[in-house]
Amino acid sequence: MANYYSRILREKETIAGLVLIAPIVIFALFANFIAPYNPLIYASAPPLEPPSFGHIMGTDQTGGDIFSQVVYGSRVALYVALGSVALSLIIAIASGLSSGYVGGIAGEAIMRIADLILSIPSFVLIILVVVLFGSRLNNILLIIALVSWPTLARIIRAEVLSLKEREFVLAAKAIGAGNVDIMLSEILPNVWFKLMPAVTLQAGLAVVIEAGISFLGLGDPNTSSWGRTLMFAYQSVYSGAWWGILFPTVAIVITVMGFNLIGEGISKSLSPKLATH
Amino acid sequence: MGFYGYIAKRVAFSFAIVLLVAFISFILIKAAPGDPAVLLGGEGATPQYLQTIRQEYGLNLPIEQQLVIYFEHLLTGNLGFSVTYNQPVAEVIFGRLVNTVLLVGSAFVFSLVLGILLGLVSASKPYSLRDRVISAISLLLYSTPVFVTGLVLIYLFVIKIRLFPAGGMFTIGSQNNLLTFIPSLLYHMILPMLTLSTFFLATYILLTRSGVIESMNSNYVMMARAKGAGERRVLISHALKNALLPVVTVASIQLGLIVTGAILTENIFSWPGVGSLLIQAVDYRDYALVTGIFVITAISVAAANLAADIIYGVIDPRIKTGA
Repeated sequence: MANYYSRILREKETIAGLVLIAPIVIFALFANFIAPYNPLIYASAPPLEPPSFGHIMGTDQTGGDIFSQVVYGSRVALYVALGSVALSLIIAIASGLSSGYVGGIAGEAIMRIADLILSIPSFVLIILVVVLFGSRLNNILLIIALVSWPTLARIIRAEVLSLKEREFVLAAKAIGAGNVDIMLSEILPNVWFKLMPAVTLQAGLAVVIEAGISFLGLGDPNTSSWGRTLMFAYQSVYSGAWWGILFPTVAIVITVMGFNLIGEGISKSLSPKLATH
Repeated sequence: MGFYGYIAKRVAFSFAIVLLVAFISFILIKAAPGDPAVLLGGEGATPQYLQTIRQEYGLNLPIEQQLVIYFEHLLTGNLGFSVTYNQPVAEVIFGRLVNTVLLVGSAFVFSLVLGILLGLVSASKPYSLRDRVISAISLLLYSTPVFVTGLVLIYLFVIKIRLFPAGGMFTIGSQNNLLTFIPSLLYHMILPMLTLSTFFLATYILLTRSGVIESMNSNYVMMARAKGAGERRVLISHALKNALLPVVTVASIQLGLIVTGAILTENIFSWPGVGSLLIQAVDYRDYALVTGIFVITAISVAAANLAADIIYGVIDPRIKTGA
């Protein structure tokens, strides 16, 4: 495993991705120390002030400090990305492993359900849930996880189907290892790296979906999301205040591109054919 | 299995999607906090209308009977009544659907054609300067959400250079004459269409590029070269043709994503489609309309997916022969 990680870290895409994500992670971890203002309190300064020493990213139409919003927004973005991915991984591992390993009608049924869920217009579903149940961040995170696990489950199942007849699995079976044991200690570690590119892609997508919901004004009013800052920027776009658009945009693009690059680095390190180019 | 067996299977699948979506909306309305009659009728419903809903949907009956009644309503095309528009939900949505299909369709065709073209240009000389530039731009576009693209385009082309209108679908007064209406429509559609295209454009460029590069190294391309076919002919009629299958596959998988893009784009440019209708419905707490839009978009996506599956079945010989 350690060997795999060092191979992944040798790809320049992985390094570029980590470099892009690093400031976002630092913002998220130390938001309380870095942000000079509370991102949710309005009128901390005159509205629509261009970047200055007091407000290095300027202020929005309510006089809120955009730098503080960008810093706290990192926390929201990473929380949604990691939370939804973790949850979707748990569902995907349980359903993908059992569907692939046990197989039969139950295995087929799980995959048909997964296919069906993939065909649901998930953004509309999230909006429906927000309207009916309220716009708490955890509601949004939960629905993102519930609609995104099928992609991961399919990858796991396909890998399991090809792995379960391989020698090391048969050997484990021969020495009397139980099914659950084989799934978790023989098959899962081998599936893991094939899964990683899809996982990072999903993390980026989760950031975009949450920002989109907040941009439409349907986000959690108690959290400062990048989408929310962009919504304010959109409302005051005719004043020509570019700073409200630029800084959250850069934050979103950096995060999503960072996730995508890490995913690309991982898949490149796994395929020797492409790596030789 | 054969071609018809394949089609029958896909039709059954589309029908299952519609049932699942109906089931999900029923569960959500039942589980949500609040009076289910209000959640079916909308916040603006009068007490008399709520009473009608309670009877019509059998809200005092056992839950499994309610489910049957709910399904009967949906399957007969009755999506309820929009209190804000004072019209059946289905009619309100269908009135807007044309505008959305127009926007999504043109963005789809535009990104598909340009994406395949740029992917081909990129792949014809892998790792050259132009390939690197195209790939870098694709990666940037791929990582940029559509609403961010839309905002940037508005800032640049509406506010800084006053080239395009900020929103709407046509200039008022132009709709009476086709000669003034069509130019006005196109003029209003350019920015939203570009916005919606960018993300998909990037996907198609990257897919075409990697597909063509891969097939340029394959045996059948080597064979074509050995027979003396020119590079251009090899590239277009051998390599590209085989690289297009994954593009079709991904294009149909992404139909759900294009819905997301359309909702955001329509709201940024006040395009009078289903996406802007959805957010209006949310603002008015017109629950029947929001649920109806969920069902109708799911049906539209299922129908478009079915069409893509049929196209796939026609162009992929392996499916036709059942191999």
